[in-house]
Amino acid sequence: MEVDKGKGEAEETRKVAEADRDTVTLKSSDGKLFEVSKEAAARLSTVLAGMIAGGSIDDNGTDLKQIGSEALENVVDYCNKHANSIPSAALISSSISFNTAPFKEPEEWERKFVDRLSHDALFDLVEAANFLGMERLLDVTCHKISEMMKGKSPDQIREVFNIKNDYTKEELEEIRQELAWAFYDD
Amino acid sequence: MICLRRASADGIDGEDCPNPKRSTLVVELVASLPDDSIVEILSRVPVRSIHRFKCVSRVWRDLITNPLHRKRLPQTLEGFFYSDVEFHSGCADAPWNYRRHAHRSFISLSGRSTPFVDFSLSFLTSHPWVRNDIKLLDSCNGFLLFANGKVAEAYGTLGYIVCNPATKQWMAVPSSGLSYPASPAGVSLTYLLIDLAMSPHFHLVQIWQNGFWGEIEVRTYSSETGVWCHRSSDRRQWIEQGGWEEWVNGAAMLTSTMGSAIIKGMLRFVIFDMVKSEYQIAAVDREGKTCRNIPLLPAYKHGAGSALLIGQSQGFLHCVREHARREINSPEWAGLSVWVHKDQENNEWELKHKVSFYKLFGKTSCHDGRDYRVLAFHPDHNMLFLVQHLPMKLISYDMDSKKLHAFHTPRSSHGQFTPYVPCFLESPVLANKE
Repeated sequence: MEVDKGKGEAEETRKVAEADRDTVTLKSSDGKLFEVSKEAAARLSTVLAGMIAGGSIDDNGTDLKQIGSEALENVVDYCNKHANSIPSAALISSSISFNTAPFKEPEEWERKFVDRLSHDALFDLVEAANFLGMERLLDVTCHKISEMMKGKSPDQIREVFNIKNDYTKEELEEIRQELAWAFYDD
Repeated sequence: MICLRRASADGIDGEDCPNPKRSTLVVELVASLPDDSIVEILSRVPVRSIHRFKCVSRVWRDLITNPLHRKRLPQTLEGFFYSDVEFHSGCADAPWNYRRHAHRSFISLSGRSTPFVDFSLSFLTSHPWVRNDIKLLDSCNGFLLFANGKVAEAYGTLGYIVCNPATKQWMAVPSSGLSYPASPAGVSLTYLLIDLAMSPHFHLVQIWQNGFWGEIEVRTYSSETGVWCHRSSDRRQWIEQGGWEEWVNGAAMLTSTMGSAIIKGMLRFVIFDMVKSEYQIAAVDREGKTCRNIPLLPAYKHGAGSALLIGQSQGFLHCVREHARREINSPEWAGLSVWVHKDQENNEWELKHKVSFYKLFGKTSCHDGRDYRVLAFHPDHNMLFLVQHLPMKLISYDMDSKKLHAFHTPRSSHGQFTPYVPCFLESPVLANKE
């Protein structure tokens, strides 16, 4: 999938020609190029669909400055796996624009896909999915993180999300007392 | 999602947000996740955990309590709608000529008023088609179900109203076509089923019995189709699922005083099984489908305990039972026990908590209806709500901390207390018209 910039020119030209037909080339913030099926990109990402329809796709690599190469690789990987495994009709019917469209449980392959990711990679992927308007990928990644949060204490959450506790000792004691009910087992 | 994110990145309207500068701070502190993604994740976490995570940091607390995010995060019990009927005597010449007046108010659990919800329901009652004496029948996930007028009148032409006081949206529902039970022993109950996380559409389920021995009728309404369906004709089709065979064919009596609960999409309500001579919890879903009954534990299995109320808490079916002391010198323990039904397979009830009447009311001899009444289970806390008759007060009892808290003095102990959990999400279905 990944095409390094330094490869031979002939190969590059061939890749670009291919992209003209049925793929689009995306460029990460750190300059790496990734190819993804045009059909899958348009179907899974509202932002890419808009760019494809509006003709703002660059054959030499569409700049996605907000997305690092690791996250973009995961995005592309997800699009390819998705194209191979789910009939598009199911997805289309679930994305009808009611903003709390019923969430469908992740498929087995989607579960495996997010399970192998590190915390950082997962968080980066949430951001990438949000930026690209990939509703299903956002659903699947957020679902995974929410599962990780179940039954966790505030201390554990701070650790997972790398958050500083900015409460004073007294404030924390006060809010802890007010919310005592929420500290019994889930 | 994208546009929501932009809204928060641009800075939130100062009027809605208590701390508009906070949103930029979030990006720095929360690893690499922007606040919209955090809210997106939190929207999938149980409400109990969300409240616990307010302790994570000030930033998270502000994120969770920000009015802009209320729409997406699950809410918890705000309080109770209280309704009763009072009679005003007529003029001095004819004091016997009483006028009936429906009273309605809201009792907030925190004691604070919530400025985001129109508890007066003026958005509804100001409409010329809506009657002044609308009667609250049920509440479900932020939505209220009213009879448009007295309950019996809803069976005529006036029908029902479904509304959301947080978004000020409402919609009229025609009557089901059933007539109000003619016999005083008849019972008819109408329930609202809605969960915006699952579907924008709502359903009404009407369970109706004309007298002690009458057949039980079930009718369902869907806002998607806009029509009431007569479910008795499906009886044969669903006989193998349990329910219909067990309770529809005249061997059961509908009860209206022991509460209801929605568990995994099934509406649970109490019937008295004439054949087995015991209370059972029957089930019906929004399409009229049924499943096996859950026996409500015969009293002899648990001392003198008798079931008072069922309800839902933290996703499970709960039941509270009274253990009354029958004789003054009896060594028998007297109080309330709370049971939870977790084991669907084996139909097992698990004892969750016991509390004595002495602890609750300061005396050992108490009777449901005479001295007190259990009103509801908290949907997210291990908590019971009760009304004590003398002196009259509303009490919450926390089963975890074992703390009692008197939080309100009601007008009367005999009114109806309907729990209310707000929902701030606009419904595409409620069209604000009759």
